[in-house]
Amino acid sequence: MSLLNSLKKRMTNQFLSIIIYNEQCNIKQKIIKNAKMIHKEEFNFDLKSNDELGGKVINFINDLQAKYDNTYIALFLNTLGQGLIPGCDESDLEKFHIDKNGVKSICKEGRFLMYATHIDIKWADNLFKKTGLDFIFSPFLVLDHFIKKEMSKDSFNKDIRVLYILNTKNGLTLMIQQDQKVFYGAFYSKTKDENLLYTNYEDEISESDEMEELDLDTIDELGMDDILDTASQGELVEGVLNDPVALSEEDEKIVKYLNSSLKEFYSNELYDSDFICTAKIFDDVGIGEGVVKYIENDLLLNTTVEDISVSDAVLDLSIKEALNIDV
Amino acid sequence: MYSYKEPREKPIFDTFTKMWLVFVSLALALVLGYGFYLYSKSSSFSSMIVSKKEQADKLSNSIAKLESNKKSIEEKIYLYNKINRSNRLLKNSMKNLFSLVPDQIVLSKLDMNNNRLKIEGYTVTKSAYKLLLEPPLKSIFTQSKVIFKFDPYVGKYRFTSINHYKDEK
Repeated sequence: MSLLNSLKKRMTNQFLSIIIYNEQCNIKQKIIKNAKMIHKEEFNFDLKSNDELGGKVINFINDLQAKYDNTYIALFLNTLGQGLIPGCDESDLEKFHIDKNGVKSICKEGRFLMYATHIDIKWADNLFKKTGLDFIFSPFLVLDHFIKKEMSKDSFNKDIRVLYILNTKNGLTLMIQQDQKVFYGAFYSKTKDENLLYTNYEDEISESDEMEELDLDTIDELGMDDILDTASQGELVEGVLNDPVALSEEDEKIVKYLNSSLKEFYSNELYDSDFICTAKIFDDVGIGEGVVKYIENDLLLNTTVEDISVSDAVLDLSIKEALNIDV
Repeated sequence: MYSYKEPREKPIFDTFTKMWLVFVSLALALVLGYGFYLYSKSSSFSSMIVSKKEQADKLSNSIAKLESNKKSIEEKIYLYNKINRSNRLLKNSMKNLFSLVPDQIVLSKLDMNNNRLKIEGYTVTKSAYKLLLEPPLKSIFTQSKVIFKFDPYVGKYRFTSINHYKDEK
């Protein structure tokens, strides 16, 4: 088996990272031979719907696959049906009101358990039925990939609790961590129709009756009922809205998600909440200056922003998974 | 390990290469099998050659034995023939001899060896022997000697004739 693996490493391997967001599809291609990158290219396509790739994209992916014998396709999972709990005990899922049988969970180095609903995994499988799919990566895995890099830096401070934010095209991933220990994680989708809860946030505050009409079952499954409660209070949002710095629609969403997350983290007894000192933003799309200012001034967190590429991280992760090497 | 999905199987060889490999290995197996078959055949042949050689050696040995047997038998036949002939000859010569002996001569002893005939007997006169017995003896034998001795008790001559016959063979 190891002979086969070492042989595979010497062969040409093609890796495709696919990110689907807002009726768009981002494909990044990386070709590896002998543990060295020989080609890298990025493609963007418009989709009719987020639930269907369309003939053009399918043909394009299959053409790429036909060129190389070994192609690995990795999808960055940015649907709402996923999350993270600290520690690696699957029975803890019940504590967070998550149906153990409804999700697939993966333990990462005994530090945290990331999970995604079978529905979302099935959705991804169906989406790539005609092309095949090799990996589905959780945004937490991607964020952890960047946190690991951050931790390897000399300047990394082990003694403070940090809020890590991964800002991607249609998702926001949060993790609170001190050194190796993970305390909290949450994922929010910025896509409108997926995130009904937050689309008309202001209306929801005034018309709290509407909230009760929402499908609470699905919310429970995602362990979000607490978030719902905190979000409905909306106290912090008031402050944001009064902030002189203008926030774009997307920035507002980020601020809302941050608020509800922190509220959840500090108020829910399930989390080992202690004060967070700094925030680190890994930014794939260009975060608004207003958000950074808001975090610094209103949340009182010392903030640094680092530009990163999620598709590159997805490629690195799939290379690591498939060949067990770093390129 | 950290993906929600297991990667697809990535076979090192595609279907065509696999087919090709199968055919090549099949052909190789056939060739090797045939080679092995030939090898085993040739080795069985060579062992057969060895056993046949041994058999041939045995046979040639027995042939030699038979040959020597035959020789001895032939010799025996030859001897038998010779003895038979000489016996017959003797018989004839005896017959002849006895028919030769005239009434005046009486034989008292005949000693016959291979080529020698010793006759002892009594004759009335020397001349009777010389006229009647000597000529036929001389004609049969190559050498014929005679010694006379008068026996006063009988009143006849006692003679001892020694005749040799030289075999010309």
